[in-house]
Amino acid sequence: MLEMKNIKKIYRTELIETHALEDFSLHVEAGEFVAIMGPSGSGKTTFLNVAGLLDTFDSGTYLLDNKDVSRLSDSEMSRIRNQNIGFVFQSFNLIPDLNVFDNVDVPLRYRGLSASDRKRRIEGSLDLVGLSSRWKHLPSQLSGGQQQRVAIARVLAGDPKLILADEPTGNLDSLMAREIMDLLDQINSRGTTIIMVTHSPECAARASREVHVLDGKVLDLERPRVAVTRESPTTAGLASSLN
Amino acid sequence: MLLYNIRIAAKSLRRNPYMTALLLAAIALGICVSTTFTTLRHAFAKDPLPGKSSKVFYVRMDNWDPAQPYPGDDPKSLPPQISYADMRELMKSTIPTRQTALFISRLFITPDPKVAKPYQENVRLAFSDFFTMFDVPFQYGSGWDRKADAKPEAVVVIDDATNKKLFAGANSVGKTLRIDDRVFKVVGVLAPWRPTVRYYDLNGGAVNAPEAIYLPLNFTPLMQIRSGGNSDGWRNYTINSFEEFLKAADIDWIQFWVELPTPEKQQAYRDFIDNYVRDQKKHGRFERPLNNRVTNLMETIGDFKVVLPQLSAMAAVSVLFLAVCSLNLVGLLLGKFLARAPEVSVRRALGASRGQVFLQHIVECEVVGIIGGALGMLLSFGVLKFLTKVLPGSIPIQIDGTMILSAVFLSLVAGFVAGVYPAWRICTMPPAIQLKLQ
Amino acid sequence: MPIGPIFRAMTHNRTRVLLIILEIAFTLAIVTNCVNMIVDERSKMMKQSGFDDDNLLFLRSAPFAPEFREQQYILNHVDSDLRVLRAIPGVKSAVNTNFIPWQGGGSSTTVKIAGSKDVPVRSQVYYNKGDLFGTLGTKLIEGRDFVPNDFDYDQVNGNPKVVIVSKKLAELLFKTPHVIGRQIDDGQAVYTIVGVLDPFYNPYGWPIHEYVFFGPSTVGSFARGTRFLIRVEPGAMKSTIAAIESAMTKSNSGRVLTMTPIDEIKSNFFSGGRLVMKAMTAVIALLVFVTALGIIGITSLSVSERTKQIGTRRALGATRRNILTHFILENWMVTTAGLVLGIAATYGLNFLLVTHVSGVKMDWRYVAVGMVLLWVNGLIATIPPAMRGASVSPAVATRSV
Repeated sequence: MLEMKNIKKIYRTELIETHALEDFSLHVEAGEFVAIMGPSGSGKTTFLNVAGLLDTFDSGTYLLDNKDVSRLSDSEMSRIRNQNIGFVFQSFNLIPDLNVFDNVDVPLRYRGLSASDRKRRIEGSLDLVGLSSRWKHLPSQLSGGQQQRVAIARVLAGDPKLILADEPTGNLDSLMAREIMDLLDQINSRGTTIIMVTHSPECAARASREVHVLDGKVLDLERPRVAVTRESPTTAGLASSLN
Repeated sequence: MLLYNIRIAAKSLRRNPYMTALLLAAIALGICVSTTFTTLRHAFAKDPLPGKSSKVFYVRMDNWDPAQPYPGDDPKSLPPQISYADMRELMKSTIPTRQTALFISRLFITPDPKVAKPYQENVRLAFSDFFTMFDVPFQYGSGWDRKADAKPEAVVVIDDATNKKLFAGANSVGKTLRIDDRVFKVVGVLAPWRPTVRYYDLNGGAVNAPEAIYLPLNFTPLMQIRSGGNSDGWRNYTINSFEEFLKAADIDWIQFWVELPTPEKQQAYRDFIDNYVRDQKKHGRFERPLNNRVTNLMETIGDFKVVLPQLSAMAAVSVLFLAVCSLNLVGLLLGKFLARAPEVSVRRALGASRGQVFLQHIVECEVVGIIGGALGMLLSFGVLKFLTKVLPGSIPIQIDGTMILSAVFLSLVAGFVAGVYPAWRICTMPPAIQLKLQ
Repeated sequence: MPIGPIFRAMTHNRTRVLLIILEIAFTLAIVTNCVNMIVDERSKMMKQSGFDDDNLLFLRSAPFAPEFREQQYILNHVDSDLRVLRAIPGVKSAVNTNFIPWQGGGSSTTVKIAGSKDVPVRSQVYYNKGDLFGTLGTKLIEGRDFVPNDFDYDQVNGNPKVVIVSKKLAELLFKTPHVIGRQIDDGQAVYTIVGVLDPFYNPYGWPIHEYVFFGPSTVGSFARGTRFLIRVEPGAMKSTIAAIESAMTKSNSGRVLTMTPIDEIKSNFFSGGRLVMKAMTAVIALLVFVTALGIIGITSLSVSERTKQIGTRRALGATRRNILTHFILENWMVTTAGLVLGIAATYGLNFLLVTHVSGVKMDWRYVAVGMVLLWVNGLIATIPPAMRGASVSPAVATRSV
């Protein structure tokens, strides 16, 4: 699904260079649920931005769904984001002016789907997250957990192959966090690949694999587990149950 | 997608009414000022006879003093009117499909004593072609025919106000009216008619209303009617009678118009005029260099400087005013859009391309442009209505189709010009930058 | 307050600074050019005719009774009319003339020094019978007024022998105002100058506003009627109009009388100019208002964007006054830059208007006045958002956004 090799990303200002990603390599199989962990400033968010085609990188190769995405135009990247990638953010990032229905509608609009198709998808995804009765509400009228569920519905409506989640439970209390994690689990079990950046070991534990990042690099100690998971799904299941 | 963007724009505008009011006020003021002043200018400069103005020609011939040119800025300036004697000769030409000589006078109207006291009124002396050449609108009857010109028959055309005053607004065709010492039969009643520019006579009072009464010009010698308008002369005559006055070939007080529908006819007529003047030169007249002008209606309006230069200056200044309003908008929109960067980042993350983001914001600017422009136009209607009242002689200044189109166009341009930079800024922002900050 | 850091900070906000600079430059260009046009129109209006315009009344008597068709009858009637008019209480003096001030025109001809080979010059020409000087209120500076003898010629077909000229015409023709006894020729007859009047100003279609000569003659015809100028006692205009109407009708009812105070004719003549002035004034006011809104808008924006920075500065010990001064100084610098650019724009626009449309050359004093106006305007517009900036709490610094 995702294959990054020796990705390098440097932020330059007039005074300093920040090496946000340094020789970053990662391989994620289709259907995996990967948790990315690491301290602040380790490069997690940069990785997510690069992985989500929100940001470019300086060197290395990046294959997304077996396609080289390192030299794409802005509109090609926009199309891939729109059709193949779904984002779940820590702060939900719903558009405050739009009601629940219209928020879920946003990516579908950019895809240019027919009105009936969009309606079917929106209603279906709101059903899945259990908010179909709230479609008229504005984000400000919902609780944090509900907002995050709308954000997930927004992802589901687009039916992406890959979901990138950035601290999806960071702004939620533990009860709601569990609900959200259950939802993500459920989505993953239907075959969608999920890569989740998180601080919380509890959340990371729900993933099928943990990847640790430090100073813009994937820590070596994860490599064996990566290999194991890839070769044998049963061991992966065993590993996660052991956790 | 366009409708979707308009809906987003509406939501965004509703969300911040204070900012929206500022944006709308800027555009509305700009459009109001620019529309008002360009309309003011346009009212005087526009084509009063669309479709026909290029076929109707005003005739001038330089019969002025050989010692010095006719006064004016242009060394080639020539008398604005022609003499009665020359007019008589020109009328013999069969080249024009229509032709009329014109002059204005003031004559005494003696109505039925039960209706009104005798009064003086502005009278236009004309030939029958005048009404058809200049598309004069009638509510009852019509102008007289060429037979009535020749005799002349005692017929008269009156305007709507006179008809209301003397005949209570009824169809008065066939009724009679005493003018000076003769009785005339009404053959036509004009519909209410007030062009901004009295385009058929631009000599003195080009913005006056059309006259109340129209008589066959051939009554001039019979009734000894003198011009109530400008007359120019340089030669000294000893004049002992009205007949001698009419024969004074270098006193210019007649306006002369011809209709020449084809370029061939126009050339033929120019040749005719030149030949006429050359022939007159043999008789010791037209001693200045050959300088005739046969100008179509719009050229004539230009020559007579109907459009006050101050109006043009104000129109120019008003467009600059709109430019300043647009600059203002650029600042406000930039702020508005950049404050929305997080939302735009989300849209970008969800797959909106740069083009789609740009479109969304430009649409919002155009929504502001159109609403503000409409408000500005409404304001402008009010201001112009007020101006019409304040202006002397109640000169009608109306916003016509051209001005509405130009106001709509200006609104769209102002919206686009003001929005293009802010929209470009917001759509080229890297999508990742704001996602964490909300 | 350090200017350097403010300037460096501004270079990071180039667009916004550039916008204000352009806006102010445009505004200065428009405002000064409008002021220039206003002053131009005003100077035309301030021009004095030299007459007692406020108390002058124009009377037109249009006859319809058949006896007026006889030219001699009309001429004779003028004398009796003048007697009737003078007897009316409130009437100071009256004159029969074809001259009407402030009409924007009149009659003109060309004259030259009699016997010379000069190219004739154009001059206004009018005729009068009655008290011209007493009525207009202009002065006879040399020579004499017309005397009854001067009217002893065939007034229907002949020419008068004498004229009174304006000082400006005398100077144009003879290069001196002392022209009593000299003769001029209008191509029709030769006239001896018996008087010089001054001042005289009557705007005409051609630039001959101050050139005039008057001839002694009764003026009137059946077609055009008879015209009089009447000078009334100050403040007696209304009552005198009614008195004239009844006295003149009583003397002969075979005519229609119309009376117009010269004030009204003058105000009509200037209505276009007044409209231009009012419109320009409105444009200036609106423009200054719009520019102020723009400055408020953009400054507010930069204040709200810098809320955190202001908080930090406050936390580091900046007083409210420091913050206020910072914003005001910043805007003052931008305004000044805009005004400097605006001077160029002003002269550019003025050049374009003068060459392509109309107008007079820019007077630098208006530029100075415009600059001061916009400086003050900029300062006032900056204060509300700057105050808001100054009221930002230092606690903002520690709040994470």
